[in-house]
Amino acid sequence: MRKRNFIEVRNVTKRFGRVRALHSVDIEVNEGEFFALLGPSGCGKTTLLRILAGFESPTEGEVFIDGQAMSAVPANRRPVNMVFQNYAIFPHLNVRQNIAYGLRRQRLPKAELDAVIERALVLIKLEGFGERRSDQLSGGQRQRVALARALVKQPKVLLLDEPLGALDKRLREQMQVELRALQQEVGVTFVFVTHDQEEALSMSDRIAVLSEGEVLQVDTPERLYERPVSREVADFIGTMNFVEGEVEGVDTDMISVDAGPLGRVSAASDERTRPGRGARVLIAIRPEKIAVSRERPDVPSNLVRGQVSAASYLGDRSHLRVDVPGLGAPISVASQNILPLLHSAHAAESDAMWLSWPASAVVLLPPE
Amino acid sequence: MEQTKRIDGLIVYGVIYLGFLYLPILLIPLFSFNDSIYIAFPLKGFTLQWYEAMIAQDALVRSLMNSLKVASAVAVISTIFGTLAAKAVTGYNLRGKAPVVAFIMIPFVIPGIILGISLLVLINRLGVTPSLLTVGLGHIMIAIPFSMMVMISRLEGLDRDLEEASMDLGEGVWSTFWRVTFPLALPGIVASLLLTFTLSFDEFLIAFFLTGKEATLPIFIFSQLRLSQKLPNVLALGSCILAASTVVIAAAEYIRRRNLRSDRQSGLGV
Repeated sequence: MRKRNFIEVRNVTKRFGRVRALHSVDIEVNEGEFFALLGPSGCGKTTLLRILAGFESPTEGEVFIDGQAMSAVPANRRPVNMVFQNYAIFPHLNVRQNIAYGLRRQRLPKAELDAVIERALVLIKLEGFGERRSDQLSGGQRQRVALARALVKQPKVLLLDEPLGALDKRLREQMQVELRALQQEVGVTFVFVTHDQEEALSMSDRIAVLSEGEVLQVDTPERLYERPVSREVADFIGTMNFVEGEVEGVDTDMISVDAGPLGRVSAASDERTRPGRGARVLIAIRPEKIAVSRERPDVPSNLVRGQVSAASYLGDRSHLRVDVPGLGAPISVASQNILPLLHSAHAAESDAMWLSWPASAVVLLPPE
Repeated sequence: MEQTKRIDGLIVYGVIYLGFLYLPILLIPLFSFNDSIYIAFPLKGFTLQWYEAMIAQDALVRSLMNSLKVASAVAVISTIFGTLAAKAVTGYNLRGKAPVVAFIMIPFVIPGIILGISLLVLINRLGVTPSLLTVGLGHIMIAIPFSMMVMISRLEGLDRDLEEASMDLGEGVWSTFWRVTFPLALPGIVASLLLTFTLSFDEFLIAFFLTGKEATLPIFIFSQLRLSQKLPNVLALGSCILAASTVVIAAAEYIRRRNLRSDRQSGLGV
């Protein structure tokens, strides 16, 4: 049975002198989860990871791991291990000695120690590399040695600080898959820090979005993308169109909003956001949820006509910017190129097109 | 054509430069084998008598031993202090770090003669008899800044993550020092030992003021210079020291180069 709230970060605040790195952060991570801390640089995500590792102590608040309070436990006694951003492979030791580094205190018999190291080498697919020094390894190999070195300690939690940041794009994509597979194989709770939203979306079970030391939202990748709770989250993850509006009517499953130049917009009602009549709201729609057509679609609402001001062709899809009269910023549209591009249905610059979107694609956010 | 001309000029310059540096030094071994009490050309013939005389000269051997003793102690002690101070300066964000470092570095820039006189005044006031011990203490004082400079440049390149990684893997502060910091700092420690040893070994001014009945080698050599018939002994001694330091420097350079390759990859400074 997987434990819920395996890691509990309770009301943690961290100040460095006058600088506030974290402000009353509350996060719960379940056992066996692949959990991402996502945010721009300087948002406090690395500080939080270092607090979990025991390299920093919180100014206020407490961290619990498997029910045990951590504030009095030094870094070298915590049931967590870390993969450092630059991997921190000991340069004076070979791969085998690096992996064995943390096992010395267990005083295993030689044969057993060798077996553990051998298993670790198999796990990270570096059999036969045991005698190599760190300067004889590629970036991806160093990263896997760092992983093995941490995992042989059998930690309750593995912390990863931008583990893929130092790798080139192709290797990074490959390691994303491998890391995820490895996590499922060993079943250890992973907490990893990244500023790369795609990486966070593709790898994690859940993501905490941080900004300026505060947690903006903790959710699954799908909900984070489809149902962001604020403009900041929506902006940070992917692209989003925003239009201000005022609630006209609230139904059991539908909310209708007067969106000025965009006309009446209907939004599928959400258990989380139920603004009252007359409330100001921010309408948010993802570019790929918007359909483009030359003919007027036969729908009563969620429809607007505009002129294409820019069209860029990206192969599998095209990005359009559509000017709608009366609207400050153009609307971004991403349309899949399902039909051959030369087909007349495709929009080119200065074409007048109809934009439409389903009510379920509309997210209502609090106004700014 | 232009290119070759310039390189030729460089070679000539290089040869002159090296000659200027090393010819005077090479005269020492040359004359140490010369069968004449006068240091002048033409050479008279080959002899080893000055080396025999050198070994037979008790005071010389004793002063050499004194210097080796003092220099070894100074090297070890000042390197320990220098390393710890450098560790403190590079590893932690200490308050008032800059003034403390500047303060430690002051002996570095004080003229030796001033330092010698002031130390002599001090030990007289304290009622301490000048001896090899006081010479050693004086040398430690000037050697620590040198050691610290060497160690700071080494430790600054050392990735702090490596020590944190060690802690993260279950090691405490001391075992982290011995398993990670020390081995990685070792080339710097060797360099510091060599530098501080040499510093003490040929230091004259402070030793001149603080030495008691037992002379160190530079003091002894200085006293010999007044007696021209002893001069060839000093040349023989100089040749031995020259040979020994050449061997030591070559060994140190070999160690440094062996470490260089792995350092480059791990992001450590040279």
